[in-house]
Amino acid sequence: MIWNRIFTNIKQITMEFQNNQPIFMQIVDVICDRVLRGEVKTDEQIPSVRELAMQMQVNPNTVQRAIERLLQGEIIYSQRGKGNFLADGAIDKIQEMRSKRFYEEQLPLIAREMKLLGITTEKISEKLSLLMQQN
Amino acid sequence: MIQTNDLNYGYTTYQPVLKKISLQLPEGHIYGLLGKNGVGKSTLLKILTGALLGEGEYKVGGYDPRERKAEMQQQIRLVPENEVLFDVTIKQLADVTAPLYPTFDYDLLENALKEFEVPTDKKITLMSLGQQKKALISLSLACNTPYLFMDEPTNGMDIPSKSSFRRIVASSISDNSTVLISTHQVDDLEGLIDYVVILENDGVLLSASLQEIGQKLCFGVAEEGDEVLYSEQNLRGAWSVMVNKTGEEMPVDIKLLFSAVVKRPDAFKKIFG
Amino acid sequence: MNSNRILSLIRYDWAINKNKFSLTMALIAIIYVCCVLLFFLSKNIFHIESLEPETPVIMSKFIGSFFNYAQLAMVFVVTTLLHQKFTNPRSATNYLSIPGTSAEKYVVMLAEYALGAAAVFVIYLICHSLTMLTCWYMFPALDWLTDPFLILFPAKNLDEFSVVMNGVNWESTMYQMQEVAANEQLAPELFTLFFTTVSTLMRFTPVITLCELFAYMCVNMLFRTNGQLKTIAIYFAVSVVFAITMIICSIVVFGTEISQMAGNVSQEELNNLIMGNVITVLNVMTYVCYATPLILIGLAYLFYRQICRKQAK
Repeated sequence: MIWNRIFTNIKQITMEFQNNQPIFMQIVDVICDRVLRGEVKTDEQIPSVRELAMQMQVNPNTVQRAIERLLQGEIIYSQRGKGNFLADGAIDKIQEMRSKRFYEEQLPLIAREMKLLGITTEKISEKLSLLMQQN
Repeated sequence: MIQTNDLNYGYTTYQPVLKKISLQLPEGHIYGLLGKNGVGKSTLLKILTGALLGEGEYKVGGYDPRERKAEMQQQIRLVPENEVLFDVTIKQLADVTAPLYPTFDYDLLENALKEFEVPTDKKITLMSLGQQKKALISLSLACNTPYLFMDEPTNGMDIPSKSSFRRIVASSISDNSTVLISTHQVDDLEGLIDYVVILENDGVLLSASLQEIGQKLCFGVAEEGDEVLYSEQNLRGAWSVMVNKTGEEMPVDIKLLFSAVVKRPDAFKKIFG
Repeated sequence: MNSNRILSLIRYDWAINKNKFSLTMALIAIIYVCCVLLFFLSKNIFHIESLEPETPVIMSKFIGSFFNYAQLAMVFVVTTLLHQKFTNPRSATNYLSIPGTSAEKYVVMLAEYALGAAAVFVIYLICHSLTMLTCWYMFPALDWLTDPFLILFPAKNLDEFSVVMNGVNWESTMYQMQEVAANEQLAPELFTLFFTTVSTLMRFTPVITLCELFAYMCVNMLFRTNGQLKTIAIYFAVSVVFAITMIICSIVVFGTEISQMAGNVSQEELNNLIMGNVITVLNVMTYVCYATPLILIGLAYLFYRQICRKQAK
C-alpha cells in the first residue's frame, strides 16, 4: 500500500516538475514526446510556428523560443523558406537531453522523497525491476 | 512601440483616474494589462486609441493619438468591453468596416466566425451576449491592424469559446503585431500573454516580459534559504514569490505575481526598475 | 481629406442607421398627412367656413409653412441622431476610433444633414403634390394647381410667411385695425386689437412645437434613447422663450402706442405709428431669417470644434 503512495507521489513530482518548467520548455517537451513516441520521422516536417501556436493555444513568440531551443539542440534543422524538419539522430539527442535532466533534476527529488519515507535502495530496486518488466 | 511619459487623465479636473503612467511597450508581444477594479485599464486603452484625450506625452507607433490622424487610426483597433450593438449582420458590418482598414482580411474573419461558431446571417442585436462579443472580436481581429487593444475579451464567454479565442489570436497575429489585452481572467489567457503590465492609479507597478520575470523570480513552496517576497497559504503550503537565485528561467504564476506586486510594489520596483 | 474615406464613412453610418433614418422619415410623412387632415377637419380653428376660391392658396401656403417647420424638425432630429454618435459613450468610442480625421468626420456630418434636409424636401414634394392632386380630384372647380413656385418656395413672400402659419388672413386683420383706428373710439378697440395680435402671434407656436415634440417623443420611444429627451426639453423651452419674447416685443411695440394715445396724437399719426410698428415687428422676424446663415455658420464652427475635442466619456 505504501508503494502506491510512493509511486503516486513520484508521479506527482514528475508532473509538478513538468509544470515547473517555463512554457517554452513545456513545448519543447511536448514535441520531444511526440518524437520519442515515433509520431515524427526523420526529415519529416514539423508544424509551423503558427500551427503549433494555434494547436497549443500559446503565444507564437513562446513557440519560436521552443523552436530555437530545438534547433540549438540539433533536434530539428531548418530549411530556408520551407520550414523545420526532424534531424537525423534526434531520438538519441532527446534521450541524452532527457536523461541528463532525469539524473540532475528529477532523480534528486525522488531520492529526497525516499529519504523522507525511509525507503532503501534495495527495496526500490526490486519494485523497479518489476515495473520495467511490465511496460 | 507604445510610449507614454507621465500620462495623466481625469474625467473631471478633480477626479484623476490615471496619474504618471509611464510605459515603453515594444511591438511584437501580447501584453496582459492587469490591475484592480477601477484602476483605469479601460481608460488607458481608450486614451491610446484617441477616443479620450489624455495629458502628458504619449505616442502609439510614432503617432500622437490626440491628433486623431487617419493613418494612425487605421493601425489601431479597439475591442471595448461594451460595444455598440449594430442593427445589421456581421457580414454587412464587415462590408462597411473593411474599406476603412487597408489591412482588412476577409479570410481571417470567416475563419474566426467559423471557429467561434457565430451565425453570419443573424443581426447582431438579435444574437446572445456571448455571440455578440465573439462576432465583434472576430471583426476586429480581421481588421488585422498592427495594434489591437482588447478590453476584457473573454468576459462572458463559454469555456469552449475561450479555447477558440486563444487559438484564433495565436494563429492570426503577425510578428509585428502588438496586442494589449486588459483582463481579470488571467487563466483564460495563460500561454497567450508573454508580457505583463500591472497598473495602479498612480503609476505602473510592473512592466516586464514573462521571460524576464521567470529569470528574476520563482514561484512555489518556499524552502529554507529562499528570499521570499510574498506568500499565500494554500493546499501546498506557503505558496510564494521568491527571488530567483539561479538565473534560470522558471514558470511564472501570473495570479500570484499580481497579488504580490499589488501588495508590495516597492519590493518589485527594486527588482525590475 | 480623403474623399473615398468620407464616402466609406457615410456608407458605414448608413448601414448602421438606415432603419432609424427610414422610420424617422416615415414619421415625418405621417405628421404631414395628419396636419393636412387636421386642416380639413378643423376648418373653424382656421376661420375657413367653406371651401372658398382662396382655399387652394391658403392650403398651399399652410402646407408650405409647415414644410419649414418640418425641415427644422428634421434638422433637429438628424442633429440629435448625429450628436448621439458622439454623446453616447459606446458609440462615441466607436466613431472616434474608426479611421477618419476630425475634418472628414465633420464633412460626413454635414453631408448627413444635407441628406436629411433633402429627404424632407422630397417627402414634402410628394405629400404636397398628392394633397393638391387629391383636393383637385375632390373639388375640381377650385384652382388647386396653384402658383408652381409656391411648391418650391413656400416662403416666397417673407411678409406673409410669419402670419400665414395658422391660416389667419393677416391682411384682413390689418385692415380691420385701420378701420378701427379711423373710428373715434380708439382705446377699447386698440386693446382688443392688441390682444388679438398677441394671441395670433402666440397661437402658432404651441401647435407647431407640440407637433415636433410629439415627433421627437415617438422617436425616443422607438429608439429608447434618453439623451434626446433633454434636447427636446431644451427645444421646447427655447420655443416658449421665443413666444414670450414675441409677446414682450408686441407689448413694447403697442405699449408705447397706448400710452401716447391719450388725446395728443392725430388720427393719421396714430395710424402710421400702428402700421409702422406692426411692420417693424414683421421686419424683425425677417431680419432673424436673414441672420440665420450667420447663426448657421456659428453653429457649424461650434460643431467642428466639438468633434475635435469630443471624448468618449
